[in-house]
Amino acid sequence: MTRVADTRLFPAVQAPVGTARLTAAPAADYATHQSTFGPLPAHADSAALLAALRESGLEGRGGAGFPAWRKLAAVPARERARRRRVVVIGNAAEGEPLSQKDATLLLRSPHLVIDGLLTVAGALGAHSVYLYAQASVLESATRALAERADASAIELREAADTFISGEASAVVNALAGRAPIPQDRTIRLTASGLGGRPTLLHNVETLAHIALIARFGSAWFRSVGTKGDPGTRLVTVGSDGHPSTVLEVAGGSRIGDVLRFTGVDTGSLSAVLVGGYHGAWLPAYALEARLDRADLAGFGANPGAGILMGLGERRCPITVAAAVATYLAGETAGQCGPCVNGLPAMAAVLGRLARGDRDPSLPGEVRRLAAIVTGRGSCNHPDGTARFVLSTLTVFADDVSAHLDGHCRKDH
Amino acid sequence: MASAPRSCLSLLARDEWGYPLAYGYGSGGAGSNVPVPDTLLAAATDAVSLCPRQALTLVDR
Repeated sequence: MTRVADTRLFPAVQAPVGTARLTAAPAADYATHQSTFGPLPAHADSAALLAALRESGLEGRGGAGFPAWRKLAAVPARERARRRRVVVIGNAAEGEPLSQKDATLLLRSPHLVIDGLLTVAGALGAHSVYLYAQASVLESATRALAERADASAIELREAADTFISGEASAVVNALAGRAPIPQDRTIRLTASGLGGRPTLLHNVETLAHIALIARFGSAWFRSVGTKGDPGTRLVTVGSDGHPSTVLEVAGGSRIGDVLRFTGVDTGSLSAVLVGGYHGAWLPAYALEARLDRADLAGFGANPGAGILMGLGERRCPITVAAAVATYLAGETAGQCGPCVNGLPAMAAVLGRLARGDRDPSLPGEVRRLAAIVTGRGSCNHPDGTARFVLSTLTVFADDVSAHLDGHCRKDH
Repeated sequence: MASAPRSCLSLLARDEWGYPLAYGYGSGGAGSNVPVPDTLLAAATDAVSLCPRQALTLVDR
């Protein structure tokens, strides 16, 4: 059992054992937080924090899965050395409709997120610190910030309610008072972001893990999970389009186990959407795959922001996918021609296939449009949408054939 | 529709909506960035200023 090494002035607190880490505190208030996790240690400098994050293997929990230490390392060394230069942002925009884990985290363990923000801000001697969160959690976050004396510098801002609101440059635009849409960037945010300042943006779950790594160390962090996906992660599990449960699971858990734990009958599923609307389908035969990069790579998926959405075997996947593609087309920022024009065109062709149009050229036309939009936006929206649509055609090839033959018997 | 000067057509095509599309697109994951050889710099500069949707940017690397 691990003891906290550097809190000698305070009663020692045991590091959480098992997979309840971010969810270890039985209540959201500051006193419970402190008695559960102990006080936040004195801030490490940026080199020490960078080393700890590197050893931990913590990957960002916002979707892209970028190693947390790399983002910190991307802030130019001269900026890290100077004080009051860097902007730190905790991102809980969570525009993805299938995800609820960031909101759940902020309702349940807001002080871990605040600790993470203070840890990163302290290491960098930040100029300013923001927490960007959706309306539903503002009250809880406001209460948490008011409970402690060390968080007065954190500015809470309401996130835009759009799918792409959480994209890093869209967050920076929103905080700067501009439209909350992505920016075509030639310079990294970590070099020049909000107000031209180096800007470090982390997902709030990433920050909560950083708060625990600062207390209990990187070896403790790695003591749960797999080598490829160390630590725990929050997942939102649901079925047929309705997110239902947020769980904290060990990294690299078997997807079937996670689903069954929440009461999903995995025998009744045709596939699971991993990673949300920008993710990919995992077919039923592969449900024992682990929720880590290596196991999911073959399906074009990654653990991402931890979304697992089961699809019942009675539901027509082409119809479901066409509805998702239509939604995503409507969520374009409206900036880039290929996205503005290509996503609605792609969704429309998929919709024709879903509704029973038996023109055999339709799947090929979907693929052609997916190829033509990929890589041609200021952000990842066209790419993610194309990935989802292509995964649908691949994993549900039999359903595509059934539609072209006119005998899909599933529920539409 | 974006009308690029003739010499820049060796780098860019147009998609069905008139937006610039890099030749060889999708084959190597080159994204939307097209290296411009020095000999085409003037033509590329013209293309950027003529594109009515401002869909092109020239970046010095």
